[in-house]
Amino acid sequence: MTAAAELGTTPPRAMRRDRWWARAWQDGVEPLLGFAIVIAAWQAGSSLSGVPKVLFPSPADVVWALLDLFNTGILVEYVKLSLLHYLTGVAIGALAGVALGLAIASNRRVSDLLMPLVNFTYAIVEVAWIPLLILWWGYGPSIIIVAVAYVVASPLVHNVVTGVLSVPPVYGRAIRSLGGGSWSVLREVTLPAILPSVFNGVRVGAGFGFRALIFAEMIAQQEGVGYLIFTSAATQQTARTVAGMVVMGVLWLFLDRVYLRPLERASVERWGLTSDAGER
Amino acid sequence: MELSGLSSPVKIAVRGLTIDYPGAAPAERQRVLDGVDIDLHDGEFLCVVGPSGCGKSTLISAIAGFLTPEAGSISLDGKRVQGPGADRGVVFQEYALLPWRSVLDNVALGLKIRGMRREEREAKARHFLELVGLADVAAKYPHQLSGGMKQRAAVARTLTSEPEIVLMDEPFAAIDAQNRLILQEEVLRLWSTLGLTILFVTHSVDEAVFLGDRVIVMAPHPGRVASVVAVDIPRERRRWPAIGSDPDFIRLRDDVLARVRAEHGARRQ
Ligand SMILES: Nc1ncnc2c1ncn2[C@@H]1O[C@H](COP(=O)(O)OP(=O)(O)OP(=O)(O)O)[C@@H](O)[C@H]1O
Ligand SMILES: [Mg+2]
Repeated sequence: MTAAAELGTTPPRAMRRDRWWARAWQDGVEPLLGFAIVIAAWQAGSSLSGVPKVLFPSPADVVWALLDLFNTGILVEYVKLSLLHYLTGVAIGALAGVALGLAIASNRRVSDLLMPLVNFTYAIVEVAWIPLLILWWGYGPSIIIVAVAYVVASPLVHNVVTGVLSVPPVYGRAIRSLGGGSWSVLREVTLPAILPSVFNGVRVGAGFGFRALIFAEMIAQQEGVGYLIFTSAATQQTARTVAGMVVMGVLWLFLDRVYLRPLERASVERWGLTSDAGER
Repeated sequence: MELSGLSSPVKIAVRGLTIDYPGAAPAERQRVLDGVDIDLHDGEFLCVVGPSGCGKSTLISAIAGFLTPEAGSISLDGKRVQGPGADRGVVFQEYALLPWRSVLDNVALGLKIRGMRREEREAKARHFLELVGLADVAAKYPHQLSGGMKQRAAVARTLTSEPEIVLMDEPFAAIDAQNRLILQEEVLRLWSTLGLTILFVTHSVDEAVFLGDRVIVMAPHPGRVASVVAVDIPRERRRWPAIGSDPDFIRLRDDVLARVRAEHGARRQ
């Protein structure tokens, strides 16, 4: 995270003192510096090159487009819808992936039956399903949600299966010798033990799911951030398209920082799972 | 084979216990225990020693109910054992404390599974944590404890469920020599104050003779009972380090050691 942490146990004296301005620079300014450089270069490029705005809007144009979108209420409306569909899809996909993974890992016969199917569908990208779904259900949010859920669930199944199979059997034996049955083993051992792999799987899946969201909205929806990006370009409102892209990036940073990372840290670090879960 | 002279009733009766492990191919099927007979009496401290791979852990797993015998039977108070249960508590070498639960929750786990109310089970768990000297780490998580503390917590967890018998599979094998002696004394103290019945597997002949009323020596390939040695050293003399120079202790230890050595690498026929 911070430079001091990367340097190991004995940071140089100047850093150990940790002046507030040094910390503010590290945490607040440095991460934004990259953005500032890109924006400056972009502004310079667009004003010096003389390419028409329709093809190459400047940062200022994009800011105006954002303000305009905000004032008309479209931005808030679309972001809300995109987020709602996205989070619903992630939740459904996470539940489905965990349930399917548990079923596969718990029983040899279920595994023989389902695993080839899961591997097969894993290879079919969500985009390939969308035309078919449109044919069946027409345009609408259900397609978006299904596309996101699908993308989240399919890698998660693998994570859950390997997670369950790597739980040391001695935990289950301990529970049974304390009088517990399969249900207690699931609740007290299997579910908590696979939590890190579930978080990991959901985090990876959520990244792909976010792309799936935008893509599905572009082709199967008439609202949302993806639709905004696509339809604005089609109507030559290029600044709006770029504004949509910026919103997309900011949304992802927000989701990752606010939900995914803290969630992962909270459980995994407190239990010391990073260091000794693998202990026999 | 029984030299017990023990008057108390038999708690666990193992009769003709035969266990196979399936190999990769049917031909590789391996007989790990072959016709094992053992009586564990009520209130007894029975130790099992034997060369590595002779099936000591397999014996514990079978009595705990994790394995299905090929032939023979195991009964507790005359009732045939089928599958694991809270009447046979197990202390594992690898502790098996749940990393995602605090020490207190780990120790209260058996009571929680039984459906006891939170305040009630925590009070009881605290009582047993106190007995093993861990009252002040109740809120910690297992990874924050030393090996010795983890094993104390694991013992407390098993005892909290008040099992009929306690099975211990090399519980102190991973613990340093100094703490190991302390834990041996403590397990003896718990055994006598709580009136426990214990089957204790160990690699260490010293440990077995220090702890046991009797010591069973097992032979390998396939695993079976080679001999049973009664340890007639009065309980009040079982203190470290004094017992190390006790002539009776030395005599018995050398006797058991010779029997284990004789079995080392032995193979029937
Ligand atoms: N799950 C298993 N599958 C197949 N064979 C096994 C399995 N567990 C143990 N064995 C074999 O059974 C035999 C007895 O193993 P066991 O673990 O009971 O021995 P042990 O006396 O406890 O040894 P140690 O003193 O090293 O702990 C060994 O030959 C071992 O290779
Ligand atoms: Mg063993």
